[in-house]
Amino acid sequence: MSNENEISIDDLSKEEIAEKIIDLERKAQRRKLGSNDGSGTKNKVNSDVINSILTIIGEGGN
Amino acid sequence: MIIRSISYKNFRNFEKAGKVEFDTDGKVTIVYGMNGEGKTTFHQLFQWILYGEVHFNKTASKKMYNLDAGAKLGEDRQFCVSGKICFSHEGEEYQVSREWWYYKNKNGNIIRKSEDDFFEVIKQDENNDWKSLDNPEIVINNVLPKGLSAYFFFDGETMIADLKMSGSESAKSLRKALYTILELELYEKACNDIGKESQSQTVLGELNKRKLKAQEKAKTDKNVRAQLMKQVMEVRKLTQDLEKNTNLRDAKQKEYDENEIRIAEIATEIGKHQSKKALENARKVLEKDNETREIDIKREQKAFGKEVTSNYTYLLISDVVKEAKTKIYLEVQEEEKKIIPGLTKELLINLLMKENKNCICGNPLCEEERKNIEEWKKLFPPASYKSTYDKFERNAVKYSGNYQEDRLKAYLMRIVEYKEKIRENSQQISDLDDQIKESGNFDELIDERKKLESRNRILKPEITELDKLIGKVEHKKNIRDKSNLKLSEADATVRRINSKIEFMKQVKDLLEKKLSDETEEYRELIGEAIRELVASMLTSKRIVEFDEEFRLIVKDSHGDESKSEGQFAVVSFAYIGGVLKVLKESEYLKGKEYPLILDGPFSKLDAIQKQNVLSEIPKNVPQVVVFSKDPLFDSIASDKIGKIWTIKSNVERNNATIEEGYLW
Repeated sequence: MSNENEISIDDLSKEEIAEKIIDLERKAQRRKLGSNDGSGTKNKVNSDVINSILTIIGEGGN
Repeated sequence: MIIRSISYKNFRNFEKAGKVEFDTDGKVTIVYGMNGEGKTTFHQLFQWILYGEVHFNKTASKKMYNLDAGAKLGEDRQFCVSGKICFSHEGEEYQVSREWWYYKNKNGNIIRKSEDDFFEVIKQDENNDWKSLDNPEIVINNVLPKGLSAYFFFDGETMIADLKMSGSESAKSLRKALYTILELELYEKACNDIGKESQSQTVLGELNKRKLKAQEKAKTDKNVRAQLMKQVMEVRKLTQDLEKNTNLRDAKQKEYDENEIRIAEIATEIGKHQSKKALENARKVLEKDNETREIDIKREQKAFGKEVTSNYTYLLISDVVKEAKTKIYLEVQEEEKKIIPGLTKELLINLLMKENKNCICGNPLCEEERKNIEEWKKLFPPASYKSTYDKFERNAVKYSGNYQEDRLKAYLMRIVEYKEKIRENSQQISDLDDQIKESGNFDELIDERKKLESRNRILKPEITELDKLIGKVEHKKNIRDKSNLKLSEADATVRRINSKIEFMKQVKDLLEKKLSDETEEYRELIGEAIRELVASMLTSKRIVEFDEEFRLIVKDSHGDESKSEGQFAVVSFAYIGGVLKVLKESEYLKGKEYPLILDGPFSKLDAIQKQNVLSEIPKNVPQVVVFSKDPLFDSIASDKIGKIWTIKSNVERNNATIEEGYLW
């Protein structure tokens, strides 16, 4: 049951966004584990995760 | 992670290159070695290869090389300490290799050339080719978290020390390791990535940065801001004007429409009736016209008679002229009034015919009656003015040489015309009289209709004017609105980002709650597993407390913390056993496999404790390697024992080899 203070982004609830973020973190973890393409530095993976989260909430780009 | 083999050269006691293989089918691999022969060194070889550091009784050492090899090294010569572990993880094959290089300087000191350090993790792909992975440290830490390595590569002494040092750094590293294994780290990482508005390189930090940028943009041009405010005020005023004018227009339109409806109702009610006064006026006009016509007729008749008398005197003797004169002067209207309704001239002519002997009532027609009928007949107008005139004309032509036909005929035609008009007027006057009788009831309605029509004639142009005004105001407002939209874009961005910041804070709260809930769930599961293992491995009753930071406290029945080394040893086995049990039983984490390399403090255990530990621990671990100075044939069932290795050392205990088999 949603309360009146519940807000959402592009029809996604905070639960759905949270799940997507965890999924991103898991994928990032796997990328760190199996990266062999020469581009997967730790910082880049972190920055990719942050950018992906921003994209999910409609603030990608910039 | 299942370890297949470990290779080494020049690592501390182990100068010679060697390779040790391990059971991967669930059987226990045993490595025997006397005190000081190199069990712990061999055990720490695993940690060095994986993490590049080892702790000998909590003291970090950087001398990984074999001292004999170092002593034999010539000046300016170098040599390498190397190790390699082959392992499988989540169904894939890996090899991790580490090399440290040392050289001897002129002073005879052996110096590590850390710039030549080599560390690599390679992974076998689907074509069985080996490929080097980026970030080997991260790969290894994800396969087997460094924080937990001390427990998987179980150095009993260290573990006991860690457990005794509750709240210490080791407890923190234990917590961190468990967070990785239990994937709680994902929630923690997600919360860290969402971060705070004050932190850069976080979602909230980035949103805040963008918000500040948008705010700056919104503030940058003060004129634009001032213009925006002015325009906002203008739009507000225009909106008010628009509303006011629209209301006024709507009110007028409403009044107009209501008037129209009422006018239509009145029209339906009174039909096409005119006012009594108008009817009476119309009647008067018609009467006046008739009077004029009568005068005209008399004037024409007089003129006709005079002309005939003056110009055609010789015709006066003619009966025809007499008759024409008589008939033309005849007061037809007056005579017609005497005619009995229904009596026709044709009927009278019929009755007067000689062969007709009887009246229509059946009585015989006598002479007297025929005279009466003749009188009645005279009351009817002549057959026609035309026939009368035709007779006159024939005689006039006969008796007169300069007869002007058109001139005389014109008198007669005018008279006929006037008479016809008088008849039409009289008919209209009669109709008007009927209407006048009925018109009395409609006067008030007609007055109302007149007032409404008059009001609507005023309202119509007013509404048109207001429509024009509203159109102008709307146009102006639209232009201002568009302009304001553009100007307030930066403000909108600030508002949008603010809402996203609030949203992400809620998401972070949710993730923190999930983290807290799952941590609590695992704490309960692991705590319970540890309690069960402690109960099955310890002979004396102990109270086991496992807190939210995954710290373990064991108390005796008096509530005092246990001090017994043996008990700590068992508890430390129980700790790692509990964790591994939860991993094995968790549906979500069952894919995770970890080896247990036990350089356990078996000497601190009594025979029963040793048997308990060696029967309980392998139940939850896919791979167990035990280091022991005592034969374990009595402690482990023979079918559970796999490969056996024995460390053999020189007398000085500084050079050792590892050979397969129980070689004591």
